[in-house]
Amino acid sequence: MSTRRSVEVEVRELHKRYGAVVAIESLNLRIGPGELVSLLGPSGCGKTTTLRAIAGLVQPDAGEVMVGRRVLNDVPVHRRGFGLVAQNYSLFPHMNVIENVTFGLRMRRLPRAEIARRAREALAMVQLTQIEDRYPSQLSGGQQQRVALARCLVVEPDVLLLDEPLGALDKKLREAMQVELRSLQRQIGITTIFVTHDQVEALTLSDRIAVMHQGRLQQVGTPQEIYESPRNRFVADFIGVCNFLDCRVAGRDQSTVLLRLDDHALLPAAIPPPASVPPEGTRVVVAVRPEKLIIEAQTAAPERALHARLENLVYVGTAVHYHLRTKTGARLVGYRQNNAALPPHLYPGAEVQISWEPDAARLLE
Amino acid sequence: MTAWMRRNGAALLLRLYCGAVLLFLSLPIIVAVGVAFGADRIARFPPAGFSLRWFAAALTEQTFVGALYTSLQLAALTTLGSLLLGLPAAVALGRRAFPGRAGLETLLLSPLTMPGVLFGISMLFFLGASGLGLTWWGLLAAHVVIATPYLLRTTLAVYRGLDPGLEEAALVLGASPLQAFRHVTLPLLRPGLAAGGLFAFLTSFDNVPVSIFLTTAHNNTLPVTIMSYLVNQDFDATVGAISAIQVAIVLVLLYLLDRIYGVARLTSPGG
Repeated sequence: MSTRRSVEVEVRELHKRYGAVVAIESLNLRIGPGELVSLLGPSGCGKTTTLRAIAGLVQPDAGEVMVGRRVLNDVPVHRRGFGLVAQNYSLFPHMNVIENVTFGLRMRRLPRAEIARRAREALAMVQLTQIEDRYPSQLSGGQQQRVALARCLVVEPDVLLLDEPLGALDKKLREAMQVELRSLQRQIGITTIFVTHDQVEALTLSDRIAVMHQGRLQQVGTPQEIYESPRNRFVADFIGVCNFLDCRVAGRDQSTVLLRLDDHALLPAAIPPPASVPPEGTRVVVAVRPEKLIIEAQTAAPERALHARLENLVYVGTAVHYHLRTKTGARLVGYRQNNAALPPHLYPGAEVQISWEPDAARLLE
Repeated sequence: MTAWMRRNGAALLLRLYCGAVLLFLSLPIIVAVGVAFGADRIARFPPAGFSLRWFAAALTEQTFVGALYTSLQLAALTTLGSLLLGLPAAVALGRRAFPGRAGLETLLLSPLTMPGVLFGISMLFFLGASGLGLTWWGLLAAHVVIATPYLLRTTLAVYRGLDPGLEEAALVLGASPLQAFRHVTLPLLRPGLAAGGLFAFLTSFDNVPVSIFLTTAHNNTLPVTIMSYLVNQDFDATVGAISAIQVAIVLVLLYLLDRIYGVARLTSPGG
């Protein structure tokens, strides 16, 4: 099973609407051979529709789904050679585990001996043994998930489509399955599209993440790119926690732009490479992650710091969250790792100064 | 009164109530069947003495035996016919949305609400006017029309309760639409088909209002024969005996169905 040739999947100008509701609009996405790409977004963003269009379960209004150089639009679902695991697993309730796992092979009318051998291999791959005779209703959620995965991988699909496959598992099991799924996917080298609304899951599993909102792709990039350099407010807000500050452009030097906050503080921000710097005086929004805030009683350059009041302090174990309010009333949150004693100058009610490294802040489109 | 007494008093009342309902439902059958075991020449309940002579009389009476055979054959073919019509109809109406679907569904289920007598007369006129005449096939067609809604309704309910993801999973796994239907959808519809088929059989097997207009001397059904026997002759225990046989056939059928599917499986798919 590990000697397969991985394929490339491409979606071009995909459109789908249901009545007046736009489900997908102008979606373009290329998934490289053996790559795991997550479609991430809130419910109703079009991620599942996109996955179903790729599987052939939804007929797009326009656009193409391609595997390698082949256009699949007119290929019926059962001839596409894909694997799909849905959130509720859709195991056949009237078949036991072995009948479920061998279903695809039996439909292909393969020789009995080969069916038995491949089923054994698939079950071993997902670490399931001794439960061949049980029915889906007699299995735990985790076991059902493994059976669904084995049933799908046993037919050696070209592309693996996963629609929130871990959504029904409890947190601990879900995290264990994420790691297992990822190593299995790498080992087989199968091109995989993973639909999820869970940003942590997407960050953990993906080679690249495609963030979707209202039927449109917002940004496609590696987990690091998506987290560190969100393109717009939606992406910054949806992935992790983020502070947004309204400010004006005050000038620039090379790769950073200087921003004026609160009419006095001057702070730097990095510009995403393709974006040009707006002219001086333009109103812009800057995004800074909470862990990037440097909170001090007194900085070296107070004119280049944001003055705020520490309103509240929340101890969450691995970190401390500082809730801050600037002079103009903007609320910010800063995280500080619990790797040292709590700084004595950071107490509720304290006047503090906030700054950040130039590349910690991003200008949003 | 203590809480214990109140609780047990309520439980006792419930038991009495349920018992009364069961008795009310089964009493007519008990009387009819009981009469058949009597030794008297006149039908009476409770029966005086015990004999099987009325069963012997009923089973040697060619009118009854012929009618019983006709009814069984008719009910079996009606069940088959309603399966052949009801299953495709259920699949077509189940999930796909198309213009006029609601109207078509109402039309197909309408025999449930139409009075049998009205339908019987209409069918009589239709068979006469169209020149098809009063044949055994006309009777079968009429029975299929009134039995199919039962099958359609139970099958439709099961089909709509099925996870559409199951068929999709089968397709993605490489099953052709026909294979997906045969190996996934059809087995999961079986409880609905079995329950609906049973209703279809029973609907045909004890139908009077439709059959009475469409039967002839050559193809009299058992219920129609019993009724005309009661109208033309006095009530004697032969009728009780043939009724008892009819009840027995139904009970055997229910028993077999229960052994094959289990009562629970008739109502829940996949269990």
